[in-house]
Amino acid sequence: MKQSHTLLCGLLLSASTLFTSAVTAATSEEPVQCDAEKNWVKADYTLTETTNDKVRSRSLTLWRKPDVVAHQYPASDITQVWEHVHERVKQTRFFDAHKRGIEYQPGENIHGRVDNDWEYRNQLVKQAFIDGLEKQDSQGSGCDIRTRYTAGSENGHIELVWADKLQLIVSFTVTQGEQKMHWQQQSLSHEQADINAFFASRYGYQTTDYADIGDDHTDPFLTNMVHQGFIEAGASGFYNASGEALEGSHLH
Amino acid sequence: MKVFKYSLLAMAMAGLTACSLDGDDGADGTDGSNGLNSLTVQTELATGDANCPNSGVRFDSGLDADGDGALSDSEISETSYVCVPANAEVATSELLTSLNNEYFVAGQAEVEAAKTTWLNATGTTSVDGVQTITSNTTVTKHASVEAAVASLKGKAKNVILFVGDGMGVSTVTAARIMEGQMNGDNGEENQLSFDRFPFAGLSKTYNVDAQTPDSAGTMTAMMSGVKTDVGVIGVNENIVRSDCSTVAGNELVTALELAELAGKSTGIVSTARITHATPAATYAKSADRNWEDDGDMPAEAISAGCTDIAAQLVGFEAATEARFGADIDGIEVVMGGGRRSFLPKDAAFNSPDAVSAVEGDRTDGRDLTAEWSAQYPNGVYLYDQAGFDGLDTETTERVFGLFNESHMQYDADRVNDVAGEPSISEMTEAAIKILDNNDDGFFLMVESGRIDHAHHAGNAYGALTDTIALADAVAVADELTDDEDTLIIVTADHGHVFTIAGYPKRGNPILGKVVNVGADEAATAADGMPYTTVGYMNGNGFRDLGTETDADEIYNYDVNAGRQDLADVDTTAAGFHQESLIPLSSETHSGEDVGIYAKGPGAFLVNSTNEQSVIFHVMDFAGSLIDDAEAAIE
Repeated sequence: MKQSHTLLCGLLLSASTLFTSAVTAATSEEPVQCDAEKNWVKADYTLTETTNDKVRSRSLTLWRKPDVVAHQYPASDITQVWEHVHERVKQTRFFDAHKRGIEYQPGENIHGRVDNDWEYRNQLVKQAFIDGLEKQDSQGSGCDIRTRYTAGSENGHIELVWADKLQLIVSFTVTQGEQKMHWQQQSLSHEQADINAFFASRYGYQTTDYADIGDDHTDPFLTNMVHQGFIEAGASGFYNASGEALEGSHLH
Repeated sequence: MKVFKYSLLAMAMAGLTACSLDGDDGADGTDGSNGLNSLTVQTELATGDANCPNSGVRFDSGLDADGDGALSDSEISETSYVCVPANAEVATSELLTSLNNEYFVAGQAEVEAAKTTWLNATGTTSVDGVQTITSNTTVTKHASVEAAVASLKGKAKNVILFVGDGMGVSTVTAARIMEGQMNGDNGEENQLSFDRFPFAGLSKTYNVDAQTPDSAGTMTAMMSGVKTDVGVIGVNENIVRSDCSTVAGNELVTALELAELAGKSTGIVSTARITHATPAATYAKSADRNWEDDGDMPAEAISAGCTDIAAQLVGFEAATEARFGADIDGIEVVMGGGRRSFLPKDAAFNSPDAVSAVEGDRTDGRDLTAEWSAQYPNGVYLYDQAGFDGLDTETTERVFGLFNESHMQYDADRVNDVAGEPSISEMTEAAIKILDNNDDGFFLMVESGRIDHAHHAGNAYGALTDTIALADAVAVADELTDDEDTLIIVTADHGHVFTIAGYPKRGNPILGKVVNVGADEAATAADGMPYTTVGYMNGNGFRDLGTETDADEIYNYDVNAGRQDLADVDTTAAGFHQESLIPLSSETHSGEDVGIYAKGPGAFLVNSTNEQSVIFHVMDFAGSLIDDAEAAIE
């Protein structure tokens, strides 16, 4: 997963292509309402990776409620939830097929680096990364302002269409040579009842502290975990050649 | 020792010099014929001499018959020796070397000290003492000793049980070395606080249904004197795990309950959740160790009348009184983690330092911290370091400290806590200072719960630093109590598959790569790569998290067992996770024996290899827990 990400670069997609997705429009210019829409989100994405003639697609749903964000991977029946409390980021990994969850101590870590970065989990891409891109044009109004950012070098190209007020990816494309990765927002909702129901169902699962999984070898779920290992975090964000979360505009 | 040897020789020589005779002049006698001169020759003898094995001086004397001023062999009429003292039975220089060796001498002294220790511990120091104990009657030596031992029953007013969760023998050894090296020494010669305890034995840790045990079954054995199944708390082997209906009639009585009934103060301290298996086994009866709150229990268990572990803790006094028909005053000191099992699943009940959006896990809406405060108006509820620091141990009647919503931090990670947490030493000190306000004594259990967790994560640094923290807490307890009236036992519930291997030279960093004796570079294995001294038989395997001190971080990665190239890796860093052979997401317990270390009244009963349940019986003997509890109930 990491390698495929790092090799991506290349051509820019046109803005018109990026905006063909069905996106719920928000027209209000009230900051309060934008905050509400920013904080209560269900955004469906497709992730398409193309390498030469091979195309691989997956889906991800980003769920937000205040100080809680979830990345739901329907294909693997895994939902990762991060809670932002007291400047700590606490992760829980829900195994939806088993209706079980594993809770982590606060202080997420990605490939050897301490990750206490709520912004990265909440937005899928860090603001510092966006700030390193070249701002192009903007469209829309109110909460639905979308700005196109690009960056390029001989190694490849990046194009990001960013919903500034909602702090959401609309589309994101990285190309390098024959490889391309494209994220596309397919739908967006701010329906609080649905969002609350989603989180409530996960928080209803039986959870176990990661520290405790080694202590109970009679629980079939945990035993399976102990013997087969836990599934790694998955494509919850974007990584550079060192497996680090993209924070700046550097292309490798 | 050489200096000592030469000194003796010098003294012997000086003594001889002083033997020359110079008397007063007498009356002139008749001239005689010219006599012969008497000569004495001194010859220094080296070590190994046939007559002076430990070196010395030979004195040859006789008359100078030929008048040449020298004493020839034929003129020697007498030979004597002044030898450096030595064991007459020792005939070889090799053994002489041993006798003069500091380790050998220290070992002899240790044996003598052990004799005295045993005599003191059993009250049989002198014959007079024995006769006093036996009311001045004539008794056999055996009977007198028996009586002396019997008289020790109940001599421990206070009993403190320290449990290092997962602190197997190899963990103790490695922690001992690490502590020594942190102090700038080689490390191997170091002694943890409980290494210096006068009595020690081994504990067989298996559960009734498991060769390799878990904390629930093992702690139940230690607290109740009865081995039981894996995964169950305070109930015997007739239980069916997770079947609520099998609890009734199979409940055991714990040392803490007996102490309460006997009128002593009681306390529980743990760095794990206070509802976790080890602390739970002091006060709860549960068909499943995981029933820490009602949200963890199946609906049928709740409807069948079983109570979650957190609710049992808060309801301990009422339940115990109902069970035994006695009046007790409840547990005075409870400190640890695990706040979530005591709070409703509602953000409105979050503690100021919560790290979850909703801290509580209870689904029945009960706020057990509030219930505890209502039940004990004079009690103090704590949740952070500041509150702990404000505790007045001389006036506080009881304390309920829940310092984290789950487990407390690893000792190496405490600085990262939101509102700060007390160390295990600080909690131990506060607990003893509160509990010892009761003149009838106390029972205290202190668990270092996260040694186990660090090992499960494959992080030796976390396990060893928490072990050292436990040893510090033991030292605090030892300092605050009197050997005459306080039994302290330090032990583990089980070990881990943690090994100390290779042939590293003396003083080699315990978390470092093996550097052989006489070498300066790391040794390499058959695969050409260096290897660490400590490692794991199974688990998650190598991961270099650098300065990361939260050992649980390893769980964010795929299993990475097997050999790794460690040539450029600092294996002593806090975040380093050792290699493992068998790939498992979580390193496992081991089935080997663990140590029991004891001092104070009754400690002499700890020796040999024991069933783990014997620990309860030692505590009962020393504290007379059963007898005193029965007397109180009657």
